Amino acid sequence: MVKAVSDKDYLDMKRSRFYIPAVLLLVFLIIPNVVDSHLLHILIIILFYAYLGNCWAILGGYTGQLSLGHSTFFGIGAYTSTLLFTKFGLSPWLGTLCGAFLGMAAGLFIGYLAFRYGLKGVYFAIVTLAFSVVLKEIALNWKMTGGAMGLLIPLQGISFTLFQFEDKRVYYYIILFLFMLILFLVRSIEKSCTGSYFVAIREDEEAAESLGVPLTKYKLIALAISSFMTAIGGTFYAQYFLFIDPDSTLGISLSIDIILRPIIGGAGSLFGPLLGSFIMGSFSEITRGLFGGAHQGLHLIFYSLILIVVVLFLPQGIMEFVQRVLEKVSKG
Amino acid sequence: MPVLEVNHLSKSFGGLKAVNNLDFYVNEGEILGLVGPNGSGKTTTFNLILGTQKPDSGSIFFKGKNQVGLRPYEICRHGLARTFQLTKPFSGITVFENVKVAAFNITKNTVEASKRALEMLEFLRLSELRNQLAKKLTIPQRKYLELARALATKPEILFLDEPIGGLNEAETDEMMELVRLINNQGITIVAIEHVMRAIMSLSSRIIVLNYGEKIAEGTPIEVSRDERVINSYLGEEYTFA
Repeated sequence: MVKAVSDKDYLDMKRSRFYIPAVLLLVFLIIPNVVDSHLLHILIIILFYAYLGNCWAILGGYTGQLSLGHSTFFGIGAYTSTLLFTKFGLSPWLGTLCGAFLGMAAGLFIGYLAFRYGLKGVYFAIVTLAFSVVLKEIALNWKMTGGAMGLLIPLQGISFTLFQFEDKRVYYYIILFLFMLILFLVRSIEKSCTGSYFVAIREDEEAAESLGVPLTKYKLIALAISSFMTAIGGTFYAQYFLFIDPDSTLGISLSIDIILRPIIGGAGSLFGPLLGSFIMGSFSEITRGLFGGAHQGLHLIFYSLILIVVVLFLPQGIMEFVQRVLEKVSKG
Repeated sequence: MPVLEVNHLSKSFGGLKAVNNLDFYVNEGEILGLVGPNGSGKTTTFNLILGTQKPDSGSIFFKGKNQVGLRPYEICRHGLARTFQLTKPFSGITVFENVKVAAFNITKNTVEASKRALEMLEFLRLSELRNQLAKKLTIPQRKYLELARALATKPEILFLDEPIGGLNEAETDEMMELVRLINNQGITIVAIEHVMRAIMSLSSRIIVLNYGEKIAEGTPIEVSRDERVINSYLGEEYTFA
C-alpha cells in the first residue's frame, strides 16, 4: 500500500539537508591545519576528483548523456592555460578562463554533431570517446604540446598571480572553493527549470519533448556547463603538479577516472561524487600503505571490486543507499 | 468553429500507407472521438499532428498556423498536448517533479511552476502521492499522472491516446467523468479509444478510420448506423444502445 510522506517529514528532510553541508564545510575548512602534508595531498586529490565527478554528473548523471570523453575538456583546459603561460606569460588565472571557454567550445562542437541527429546512449559515448582519442594523438605528435614528453611549468616564484604556491594549503583551499562552487551550481540547477528539464531528458526523451522540453538545446546547455567546469579542473591539475603530459591529462583512462567516482557514489545526487571520491581515495591509500610499492596496480583490483558490487546491488550509487538508511533511522 | 484543420495528411512506412489522404477538423470545445480497428492509423495520426513523426504530405493548421515540420516541444508550446497509450512516466523522480517538468512549459519560475503542478495534482486527486517515485504508481495512477502532466502544459487541445484502455468498469466511469470535467473547463479534446461504450457517450463527434482512411464521420448515432463502420469495425452484432 502506498503511503504518502507527510508535510512534517518533508520539512525535516529539508532541514537535515541544510545542516549536513554546513557541518561538512566547517570540517573541510579546519582540516588542512591539523593534518600533515601527505594527508593534505590525499585530501586535495579527493576533492579534485569529487569536483570533476560533479562536473561530469551534470551531463552524465542529471541529463543522462553518457560521456566517455571528458578528458577532452580536461586536457584542453590543462594545455591551454599551460601553453598561454609558458609561451606568452599569461597568468594561469586568465588561462583558466581561456581554457574553460575553449573546452566549452569543444563540448558544444561535439555535442552539436552528436545531438543534432539525436545520438544517445552508447552512440553518444562512442563519439565522445573518439574525440578524446584523437585529441590525445594530436598532443602526442604535436611539437607545440611537447609530444609524449609533456610540458613543464617553470617555477617562477611563489606568487598568487602565477598560481604557484609553496604551501599546499593554498591549493587545498582553491580546490575546496572550486568544489563548493560546483556544488552551489549543481544545487541551483537542481532547483531550476533547467535542472527539471535535464532530469526529464534522462528519464524519457519522447515524453519530455512532448511536454515542451527542447531536447537538443538543453543537452547542449548541460554539455556546455559540464565541459566549461571540467576544463577549469584541467588548469588546476597543471598548476598543482606543474607538469602535464598526454597520459595524465588526456585519453581514455582519465575519462574513466573521472566517471568512476560519481558512478560509485551516485551520479544523480549532489554529494554522490564526493562520497565516491572518498571511498576510492581511501582505498587506494590503504592498499598503498599495506603493500607499499610491492604490488603495483593492486588498488585497481579493489576499484573494480567496488565497482562491480555497486553496479550490481546499488545501481543508483552508494549515496542513495545512505539516504535510505538515514531516512529509516530518522523515522525510527 | 474549427480550431484544428488537417488536410490531405499522408504517411507511409515502406509500402504500408499508415495514413492516407486524411482530412478532418476539430471544433473548438468539442470532444472528438477517433476510432477504428488496430493498425488503422489512429496513433500515427496523433504522432503526425504532435510532431513525433513527419508527414509525407499534407498540412495541419492550428489556429491558422501550419504545424508541419515543427518539433514536438514547439507544438506543445503552441497549445497541443498529449498522453501516450503506453504511459511514459519519468520513473526515477517523484510524481510532483513529473508534473513540474510540464508546468515549466508556461513559466520558467520555479515557485509558479510548483504551484501549478500542485494544482494539477489536486485536480487529479494525486496530491497524496506527490512524493512517491513515479515507478511505484499503479496503472490507473499512471494514467492520471499522464493527464496531470499534459494538463500542466496548459493545452488548448488535449490528445488522449486510449485513456480508458486497461481500466476496469469503475475506473472507466471515473476517467470518463474526468474527461468531461476537463472539457467543461474549455479544453478541446481528441480521444482515441477502443471501449465503444465510453467513446460513444463521451464524444460529440466521431471519426472512423480504416487502413489509414476516413470511412465515416458524424455523431455517435450516425456513425454506429453506418454500414461500412459496422462491416469493418463494429461487427454485425453491435447495436448502439
